[in-house]
Amino acid sequence: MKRVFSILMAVLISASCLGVAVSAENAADVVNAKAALDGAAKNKANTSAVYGKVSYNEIATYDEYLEANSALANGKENVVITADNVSSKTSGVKIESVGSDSQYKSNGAFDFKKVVNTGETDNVVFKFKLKKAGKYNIKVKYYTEKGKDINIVRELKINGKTPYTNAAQCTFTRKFKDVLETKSDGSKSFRQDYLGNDIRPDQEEIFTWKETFVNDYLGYNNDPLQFCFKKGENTISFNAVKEPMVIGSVEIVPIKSVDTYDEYLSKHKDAKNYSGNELFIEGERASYKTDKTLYPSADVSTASTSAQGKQTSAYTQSVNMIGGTNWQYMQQAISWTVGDNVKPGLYSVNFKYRQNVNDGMRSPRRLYINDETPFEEAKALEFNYTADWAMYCPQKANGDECLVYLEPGYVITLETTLSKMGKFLQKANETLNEINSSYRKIIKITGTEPDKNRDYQLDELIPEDVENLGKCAKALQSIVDGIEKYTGESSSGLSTLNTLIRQMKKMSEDSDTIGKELSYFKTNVSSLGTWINSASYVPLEIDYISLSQPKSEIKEPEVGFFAGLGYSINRFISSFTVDYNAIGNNKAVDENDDETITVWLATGRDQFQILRQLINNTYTAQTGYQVNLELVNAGAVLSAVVAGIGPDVVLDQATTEPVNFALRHAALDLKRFKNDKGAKEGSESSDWDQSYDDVLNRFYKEALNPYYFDNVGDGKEEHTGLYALPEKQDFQVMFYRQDVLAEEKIDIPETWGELVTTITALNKKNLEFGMPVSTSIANGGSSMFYTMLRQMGGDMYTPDKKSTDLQTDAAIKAFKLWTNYYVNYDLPLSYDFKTRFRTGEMPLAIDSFTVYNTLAVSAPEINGRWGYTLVPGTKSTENGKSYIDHSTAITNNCCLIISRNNTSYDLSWKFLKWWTSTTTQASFGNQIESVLGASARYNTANLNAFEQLPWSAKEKNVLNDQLSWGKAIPQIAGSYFIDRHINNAFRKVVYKEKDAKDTLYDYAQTINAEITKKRQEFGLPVLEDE
Amino acid sequence: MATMLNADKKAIRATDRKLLKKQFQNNWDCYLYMLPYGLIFFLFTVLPVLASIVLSFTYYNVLETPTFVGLDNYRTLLANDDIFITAVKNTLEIAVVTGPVGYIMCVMFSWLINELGPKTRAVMVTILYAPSISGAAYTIFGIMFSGDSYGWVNGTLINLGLITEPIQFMTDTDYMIWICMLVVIWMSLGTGFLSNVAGFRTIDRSQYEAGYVEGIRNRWQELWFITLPSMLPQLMFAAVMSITQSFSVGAVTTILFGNPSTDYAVHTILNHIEDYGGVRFEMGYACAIATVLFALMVASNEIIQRALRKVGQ
Repeated sequence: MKRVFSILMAVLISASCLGVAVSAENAADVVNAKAALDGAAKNKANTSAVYGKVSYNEIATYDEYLEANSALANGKENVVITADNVSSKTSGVKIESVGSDSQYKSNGAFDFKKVVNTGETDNVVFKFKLKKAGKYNIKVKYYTEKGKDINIVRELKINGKTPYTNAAQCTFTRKFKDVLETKSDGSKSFRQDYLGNDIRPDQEEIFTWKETFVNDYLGYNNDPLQFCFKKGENTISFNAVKEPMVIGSVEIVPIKSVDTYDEYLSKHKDAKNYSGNELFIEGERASYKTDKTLYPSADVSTASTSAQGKQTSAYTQSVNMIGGTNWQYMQQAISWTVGDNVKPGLYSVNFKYRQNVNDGMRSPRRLYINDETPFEEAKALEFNYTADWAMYCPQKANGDECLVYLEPGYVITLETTLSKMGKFLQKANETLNEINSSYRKIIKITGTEPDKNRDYQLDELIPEDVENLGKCAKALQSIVDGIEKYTGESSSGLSTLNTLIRQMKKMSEDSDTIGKELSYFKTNVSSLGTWINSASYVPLEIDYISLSQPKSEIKEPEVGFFAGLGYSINRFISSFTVDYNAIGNNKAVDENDDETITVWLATGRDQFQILRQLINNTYTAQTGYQVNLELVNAGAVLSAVVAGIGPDVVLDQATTEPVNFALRHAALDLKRFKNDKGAKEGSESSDWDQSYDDVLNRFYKEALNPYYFDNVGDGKEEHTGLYALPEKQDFQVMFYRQDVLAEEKIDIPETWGELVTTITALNKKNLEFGMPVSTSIANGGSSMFYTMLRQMGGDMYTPDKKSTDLQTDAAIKAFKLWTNYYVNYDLPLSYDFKTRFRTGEMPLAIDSFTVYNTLAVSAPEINGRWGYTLVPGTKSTENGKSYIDHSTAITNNCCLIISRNNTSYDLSWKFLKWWTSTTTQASFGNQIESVLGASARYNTANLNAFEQLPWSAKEKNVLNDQLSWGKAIPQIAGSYFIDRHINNAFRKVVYKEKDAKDTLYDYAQTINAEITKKRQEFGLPVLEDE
Repeated sequence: MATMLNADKKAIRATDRKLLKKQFQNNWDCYLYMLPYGLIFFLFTVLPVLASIVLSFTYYNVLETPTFVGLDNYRTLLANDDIFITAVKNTLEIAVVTGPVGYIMCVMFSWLINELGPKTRAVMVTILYAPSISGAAYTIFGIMFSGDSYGWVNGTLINLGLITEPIQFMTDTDYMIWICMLVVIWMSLGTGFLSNVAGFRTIDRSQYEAGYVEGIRNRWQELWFITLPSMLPQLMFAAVMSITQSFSVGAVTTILFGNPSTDYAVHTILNHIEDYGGVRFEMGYACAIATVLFALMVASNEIIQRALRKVGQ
């Protein structure tokens, strides 16, 4: 009762926040595709999907590795391994000699005669000899070949074995810079729109040689990783995980510690201390960055942010700082070049920074001068939490400032690091894995919903796991203590850990409470995972770097009260005067111009701004036509069209909409453009201004199905129109946890029949299989049914679209199969897939492939322990050849032209061609990802554009395989009744235990009646006519 | 103002247009005061209602010009639409249960709160009124009654050993209507409740003294013979609000149970309007439903007002 009351109180208090929380659940989207997909039969034979037994070898952690090799001394040799040392390689690896005209030609440190060019799926092994066994660091010189703009990732193997987990994803960064505009006076700056707003600069990759130590990709270890080599012959392999890489040399170098500050000073004892005025390097004018997401941005929250030397204006948007939550992941570095106005000398270097995201946590950065860490203290600059801009300079433990020697052209680099947090997080991660494995052993006995009154005798059955909980509690306690000592304060995140510690202590001391506590325990464990994830983010914003004479007074970045107030008032006024839709335009858009089309977009502001910029930079630049892009509410489209003030083109519409518009003659039949030949070969716009057929060929053929509609109803080709083009698409794959399945020796099922065996095996261990059904709110759950229906050879509608086809044997078979899993095998009807997948209690589940990115980003503790494969299939035969049919439902979003009385149809079509083109979709997808992060990967329906998004080759193969089986659900007049009644039928069978066949039959009648009614309404021939 | 308008009405009935003109000349300032709101009221309430009544006699698919179809929509609605009957049944069920319960709660809570000290009163009013101002706060019920075995209610019931498998509260037709009623009652302390709280504060204390002299024996008699009759206008207002609210349940069911809900188990008239207007784009038909709903509301308002005039008699 007390609990209920507290819940009610919580409801009242948190009521107003709820709207936000609920809408935030709509997670990220993503997609895929490929040109050779049409005709699924082609790849039926060789699929890259995984079935049957899975293996998983536990790899040692870095700490375990070091401990096992603690007797080994640090090596002293220095071995340079080059292309000559390659002992074996996969077929794609090319050893190229570098001629004088080669792009790899370079002088100095990167002057190689031969290079090893490896593709995104290649492995290469180098062989070398050591005189004595020892521990070493590894340094790699590599060239950043054109790829998909993401970090290069290689798995490192020493003598054929991955030494420890951190070596499984060694990351090598790329190099990007801002694209700036050269002004008439020769100076370079950010491009501006016609209103004087700075436009966020595009990022351009510089293909170049880079040199780096092999570091910990998780950032847990602040020093370069150590590797142990034996005496005599050793091998080292680079196995591709992501992206191509050109290797110049791999150096085995002795472990060297960084200079102390005194040693550093003594190296520069001839240098003079700088004296003179304070000099500034603006943060937004960074010269290089390792990631294209590290673009400079506009901070309008305070007047104190300096915009390229000037004060931030309240009325225009100025790009005035760099960093933020896009600069929070490991291995991200930003570099600034010291200008010519700096005289050689020792400087006090102060960073004007802000970190107001992670309360109570630090955002450390490693400082490099010309790619070298100058002294010990520079290994971690500890930027503290601060609500407003503050100053920070590298300092000794006693607080004295450390001076830095600078000359013109020197490069100051800040790289993300976890500093001392790394060790704590590593430990926490290991503890989390242990807790999860104990949790799985507990639920093996108790089930996920234990009977509170039963004594499970856990202390006798699994005493070591009960004890382990106590150990984990102790380990976590020491982590919490350590963090509090390090940061000097307790943060809100740590309270979650404290709750878990208390609970685990209790559970381990009195094992009878385990049953009672289990569900709260699971919640707490899952929040530990979330905490580890968020604590490894180190966001930081930099406004400028100040170079000044030692011991000088540094101006604290404060704005006077009245200046601040004035700024806020001006900002408020500007919110009435500034037209946000116009930001980014090159010139004012004339809405009444016949050559201007209006495009509506119903997504977010980020998408809007990216699209705005793309339109300006390519569409308008190449065609000269203006586009009036407006951000609207999705529900507004219909009413606006009714009122006659609608747009010419609507983007991002649900797949059900085109038919609704087409039935009422409000969508334009795109077939009227079928004689469009596109732009002439060789013209500037020829890569997107293609012929009608080429435009259709951009998509997976099936994906267009929902947009064909026959407005006369006689099924004749000439009456069937095409009313939209797909934009995004989504389909399901099957996710699996290889570690859990291998441990329990459970196979991944390839067919629905095998799935039954798998579910039984899972249930025996109290594990679950997840298959999505529609929740109480959404009515989209029938795609699972559609998947089975198509595999059984059935379809939703009869070919003439006059009625459903749900009274056939195939449909009844599919429906029985679907409901049977819930009736007889008790699959959960409602669950949170991500949480259960993380803990491992649901090691196998079907879900949208877009969940992949969410998992990859938000559940790093299970990295490398999971994968995905095709959804289970049905054995079928075609032409005497038997195969397994993995058909799956695809759903997509689309864009269409609104039909109204005007003359801009040709321009609207041109715009659609441009928008759905490979170049546009790929750049849009890449930019979305650089702004919103990898979890928001764009699921474009354009097959070639999908190829260009940063999926790894392996991931893409499975997705392409699955897509080649994709079947889009057709849309007809009255198709809203299908989802509705399939859900009703499903619930009737599953909850009320009604007969599947009769139920489906009854609902099919109801649906048919509605379809007939709708068809009559629009004067289409109906079933009875025949 | 009310008495003056009544006087106006009588005058109109009794005399000719000349007198009306004179009335207008005499009270032109009152009409001027009414103008801004009157205009808005006419544009955004009266006009749409009239438009909806007119459209209910047409076939209108939203995008094309409406065509006149006479009484077709009403004929289908009353004779041929099973779902509409279900919707009326659900709406009445919800209205009959939640309307009076909500209204009585509204009166009782405001009476109880009236007895508290000023500070506690302010806090309690805020707490009780919060659910109805905080928009879609009821979505929390979706989390409470989640069909997941870790949902609050399911988790508790499983922990208590009362059930072994999670109940699908939001999709199982056996439970849906009850949860819907619970949510509606939870939200029913709205503006009517506030006006009641205010009403209690305006009662002249001397009336109670007079009441004691006249022989009021207990608090119930005090409530029935003095308190309630003195705040009849507020009670009336609260009743109207309560009726309107219980007839216009719709957003709650859409958000919690989906529209349409499983087998139309909590399908209300408002959901039916949404279904026809928003999903099927049969706006003429949706307007016919709306007109019927409008008539239902007007009628039930009339009944309630008559019943309320009996208070204290």
